[in-house]
Amino acid sequence: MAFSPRAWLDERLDLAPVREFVEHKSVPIHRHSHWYYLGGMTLFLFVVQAMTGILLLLYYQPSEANAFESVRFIMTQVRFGWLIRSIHGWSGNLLIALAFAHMFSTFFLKSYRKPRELTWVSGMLLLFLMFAFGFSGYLLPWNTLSYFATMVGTNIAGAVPGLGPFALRFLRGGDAVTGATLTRFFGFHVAILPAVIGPVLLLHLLLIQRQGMSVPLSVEEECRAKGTAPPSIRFFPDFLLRELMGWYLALAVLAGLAALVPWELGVKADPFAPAPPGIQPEWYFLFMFQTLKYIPATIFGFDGEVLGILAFGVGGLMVLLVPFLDRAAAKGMRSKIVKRAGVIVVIYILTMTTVAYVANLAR
Amino acid sequence: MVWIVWIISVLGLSVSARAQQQGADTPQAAEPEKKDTCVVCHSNLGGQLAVPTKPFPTDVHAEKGLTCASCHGGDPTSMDPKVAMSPAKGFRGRPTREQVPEFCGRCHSDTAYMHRYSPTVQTDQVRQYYTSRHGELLREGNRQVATCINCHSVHDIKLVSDPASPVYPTNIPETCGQCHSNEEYMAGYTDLPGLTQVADYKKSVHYQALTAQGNLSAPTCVTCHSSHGATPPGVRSVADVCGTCHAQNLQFFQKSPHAAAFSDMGVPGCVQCHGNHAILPGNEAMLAGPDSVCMTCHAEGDAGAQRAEEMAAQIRRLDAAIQQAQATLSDADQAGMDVSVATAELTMANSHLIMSRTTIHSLDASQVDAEINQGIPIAEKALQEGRDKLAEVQSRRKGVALFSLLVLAIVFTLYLYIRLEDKSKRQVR
Amino acid sequence: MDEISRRRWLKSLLGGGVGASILSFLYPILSFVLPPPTQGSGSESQEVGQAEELKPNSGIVFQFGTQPALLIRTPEGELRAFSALCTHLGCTVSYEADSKVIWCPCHNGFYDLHGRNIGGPPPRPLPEFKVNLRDGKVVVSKGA
Repeated sequence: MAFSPRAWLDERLDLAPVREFVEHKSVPIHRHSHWYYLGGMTLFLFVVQAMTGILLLLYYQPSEANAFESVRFIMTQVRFGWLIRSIHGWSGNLLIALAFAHMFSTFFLKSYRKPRELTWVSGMLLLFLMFAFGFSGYLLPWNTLSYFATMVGTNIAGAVPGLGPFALRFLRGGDAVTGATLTRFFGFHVAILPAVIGPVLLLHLLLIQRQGMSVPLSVEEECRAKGTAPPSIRFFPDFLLRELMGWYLALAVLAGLAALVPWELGVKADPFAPAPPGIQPEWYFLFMFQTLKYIPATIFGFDGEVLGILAFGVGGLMVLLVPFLDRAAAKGMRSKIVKRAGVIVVIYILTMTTVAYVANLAR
Repeated sequence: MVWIVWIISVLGLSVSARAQQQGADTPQAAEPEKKDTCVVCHSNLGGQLAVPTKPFPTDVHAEKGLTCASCHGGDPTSMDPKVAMSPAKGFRGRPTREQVPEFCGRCHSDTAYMHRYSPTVQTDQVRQYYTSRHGELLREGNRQVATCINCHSVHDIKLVSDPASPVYPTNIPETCGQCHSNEEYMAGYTDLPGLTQVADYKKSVHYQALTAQGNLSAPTCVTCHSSHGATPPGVRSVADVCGTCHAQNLQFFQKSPHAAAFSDMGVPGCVQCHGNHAILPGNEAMLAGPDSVCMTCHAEGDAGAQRAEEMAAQIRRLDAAIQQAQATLSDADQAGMDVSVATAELTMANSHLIMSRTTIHSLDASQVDAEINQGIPIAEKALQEGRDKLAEVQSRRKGVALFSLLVLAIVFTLYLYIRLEDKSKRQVR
Repeated sequence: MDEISRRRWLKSLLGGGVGASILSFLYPILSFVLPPPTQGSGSESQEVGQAEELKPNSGIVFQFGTQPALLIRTPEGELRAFSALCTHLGCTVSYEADSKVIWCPCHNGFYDLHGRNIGGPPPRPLPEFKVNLRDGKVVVSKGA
């Protein structure tokens, strides 16, 4: 009998359930189903980050004395180092942009409604973990921007009442941003955060496999009226092939960005030099950063900045708990308030981010 | 029984506490209480008499523990002016202008005394002062001329190293300028070459270094003219003065034909071409071209003018090569390549450029050539590295373009395949 | 072209394309993974040459990363290395065998053989680097 790897494995592992799953996993197709691609694209970029990150690990040295030089070494001496590093930088930003898009699409399509509340919560946790990845990774090249952005960011964390000072010392590995901070952030970025994000990601994906894709309320109503189910295509290979198109295009975009707009090296951080004007964090933190700038110093006797941070904290918590706050969605109905709140949040984020950029340019 | 012990210990503690306090009140056993009656009376009298008392606590002399009596003599413990200010008690009073140098020199020329405060401090200021024009004029009875207190101030004297001192390097031009830029004050001194020195100096590269760059080792008035022996450098010594820092220029100059020629003509060495106060950065523009300094003496086409043209041409060649390399490296930098190593190497070429401008002073074109020929290969190497980096940028872009074409081909094929599959599935259904 | 052969054609084209793309990923990744010919992370340490080539009472200026550095062998035979950037205005210093000092030609600054500024305008000593020997070659490193 001819040797078949599939048969060999099947004998030992009983692949029947796997085969069943692969053959029957399907994706509903309707006028909103293009949004489904965002999730897979986010996952793809995350894999790109992990792989380029692992490659960079082979040369990066996480100490104050060597970090900057090791990154310069990667950019100038290592073959294709420029490509791997620039892709890591660009893909990180694209990943967070897509994660936002994926989140807002599932928000407006109300995919978070019952029974998919946990999927939403785990997804929000994934987004926060990605912010943590972004923030910790930003320090690693140890250039002027990294250093001062980290200082500003950890100062904001330190301003939270109660936990603040502890959080600041925990993050910085001391009282100031030093080589100890770099080592600590490196530990977060390559070990602790991956270890934490792994199970959360697994949960998120498992829930989706178990529950299938959510169909938007409008489509559901139409189908109910017609008495049919929405048409669907098989995931393997049909949907996957379509996703593959997107992934290839994303790779081309990343390579193009790496060649045309390489990730800059900057100037090695000098803790004793004064902060250059216009230090701001990465773009995904900008809307919060800019908001904090506009809050008056004191509001009703309380520290304005602290109130702002707390407000964002409460806001984040509300977004995390949206499936439980949106009672209407649980019942299968649309809530105008929730939708409007979402629109306002999107407009606010876009506006504040733009304002932050323009204000910085003006300086 | 216990209460006896208790009472004894309380008494014992209070006695020892009292003894400690007494000890604190009398630091040095049997010394009389230190009360400076000079300050007490003069500050109460107000007006002109009180003027020295206010700033004196900030004076470096006060910080070292000296008092009014240390300089002016007298008895600072007595409230009776006849005793406090009696010559029997050593009272010297206010010195006249002529007496000022000796007044300060009583301590400042006493080596043994001054070395108690600072083992390496100079103690020849007064002797130097009398070698200076200021000192000479003072001895002749001139009351306008500067004495110690005009530059160092009085009663609020600070160390030279204190930025608040009028003789701190950055304050020196203003301090000298108080008189030497003042037309009214200096009217009548006919042997001065004008009063523009401070204004000229402020246009100079040395002043820029001192103020804009904060370089405290940049020369000020006292660096060339001396602080206490303030005298203009003579013709022969000018080159020596500049040569303390610009040693290479001096060496080249002294071996050049100009040294003897200038000396014969009674022309001051460096000053003849560079000026004395308004010294501007020197470069080959001073050799040939509209701003040529050589042409003040040399005629068109003579040996000197030709040499100047040759040297200028060579230096401009190196300068251009460096600029070109710089521009290319800058382009590569803009395109995202790291040019730090090449840029650092280019600074070596820049060192040769600076050296070649120094070598001009030898008037020997072959020496200038030697420097140029060392600098040019370095600049060319940096230029090549810049070009290589730009080529690398192009090849990266080409590689990525090819990859993008591959991706587009794959995506297109996928599209066709998907469409085919969909069509066949629809047919099946 | 009938459907089946068209499908087979597209499938093989796709397979070829995907295969080519996989090669286009593998080539850079494998090249990346192989260490480049130049040494370690550049600025930490650098080989300067054979130890015996540097005679006593001489010095050479070499490029150490992005800055010039000076390696000297003292008259007693000891090897020392310093940053060659003069602490006054950044000119490149050199070793003067006649006077056994480190000298800066720009404004006549002097340093002793321990890098201490002993004359002229330089305000600070020259930073010193570590010198080690490895297989007869001199290795200069910044060291902590």
